[in-house]
Amino acid sequence: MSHPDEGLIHAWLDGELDAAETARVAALVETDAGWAAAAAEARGLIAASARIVRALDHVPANVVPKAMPAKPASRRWAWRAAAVLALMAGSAVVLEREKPELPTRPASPGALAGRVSAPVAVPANSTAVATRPSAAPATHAQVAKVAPAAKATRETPALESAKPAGAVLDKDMAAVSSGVRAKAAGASRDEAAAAAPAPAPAPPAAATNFAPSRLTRLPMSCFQQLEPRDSTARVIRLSAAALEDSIRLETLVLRGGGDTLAAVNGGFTAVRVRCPAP
Amino acid sequence: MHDTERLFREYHAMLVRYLTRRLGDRDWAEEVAQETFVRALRQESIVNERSWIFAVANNLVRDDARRASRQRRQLELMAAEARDEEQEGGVDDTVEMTPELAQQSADARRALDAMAERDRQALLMKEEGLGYGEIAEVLGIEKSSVGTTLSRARRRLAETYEALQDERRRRGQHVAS
Repeated sequence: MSHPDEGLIHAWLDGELDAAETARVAALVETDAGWAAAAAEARGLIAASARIVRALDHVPANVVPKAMPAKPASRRWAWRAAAVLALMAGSAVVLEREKPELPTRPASPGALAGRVSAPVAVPANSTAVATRPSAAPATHAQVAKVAPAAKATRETPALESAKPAGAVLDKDMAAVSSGVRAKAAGASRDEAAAAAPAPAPAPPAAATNFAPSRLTRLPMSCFQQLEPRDSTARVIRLSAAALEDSIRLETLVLRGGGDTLAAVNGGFTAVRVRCPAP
Repeated sequence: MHDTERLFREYHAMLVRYLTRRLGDRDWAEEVAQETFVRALRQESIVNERSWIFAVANNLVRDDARRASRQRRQLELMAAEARDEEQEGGVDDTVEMTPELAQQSADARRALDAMAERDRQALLMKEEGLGYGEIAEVLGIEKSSVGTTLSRARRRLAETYEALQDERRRRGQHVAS
């Protein structure tokens, strides 16, 4: 009975021996209890070490935020539930879900018109969005009234009427904000039939007129401010929780100053708007 | 396909995994791996690719890889592509990190660090599929002694790991009582 050679057994189990050596070791393991025990132990060690090495691969991922906040952590964040999108005179910006990158362009109302020609569906139970298909003329009037006011003063009295009861609006945000227009395309199931035709946005070339009647106002509660109050910009996230399930925003129209807006986060969930100088 | 690109696609993932396991630092591993392929770019001919790559990587780890070269940028892009392909290929990197997994990983790291450098390298290269001949070439030892090296490395790793786990269990019981 020879003493088991551990190195040889490991080489045998790893398939590194030539045919003659393989046969010799196999015979020893078969006939010699010591070699058999050593081979069994080696099998266990090989399996265990492989398992332990694989445990090294358990490295936590995604623990570092992809983007650092613009301000130091010591800055106070104003997590206010209510937020608004700026409505300022001059230019307009259109965001579309289909666009991977934010299209920023100084746009005239005419340029804007091509992006807002699709029909609008509104939530059946929304308190702030009163634009059922049957109520379209009222909404039309409302929107038509808002735009000139914003042009003149950057303030929109109508905004207050759109604010849900109990909503809190920052002072500075109130100064900035003047209105929100969002086109919700893709009707709720129960309103889909009434909101014909299909909600796909028409190509710019096909549209010729700005169609305010097809726009609607979303309640302030649909938005959530994500930037510090004192930052020079606002990131405003569309709140999925606040939005009715039946609303599917396809196009959001922002009208603002030349430097309004910068980015869209995740397709169509948030926008960044620049604050006016205090 | 350019030969270097083939080398990269064939060995990059393996090399990064090996280096990450060895160094415990993915970024460092990536850096060393890229430097290794930069060296491969400069090499006119490589006889045994896999052992050459692992040998160079080991030397770079020892000497601490230096930064440089324009090729690095291209290799970074290729690395990003390779990662995308790995993910498309169904590599599951979304394993949730539980406290238990974290402890196992920490114990494995401690056990590996307790090993002799040569044993550690031999074991990790074997886990990446290198043969005894390649391991011997990289480490500069006889092929016939690789089995012995590996048997010693495996035993040491398993026993140290087991001891760490036992110690942890004992501490847990002590706290519980």
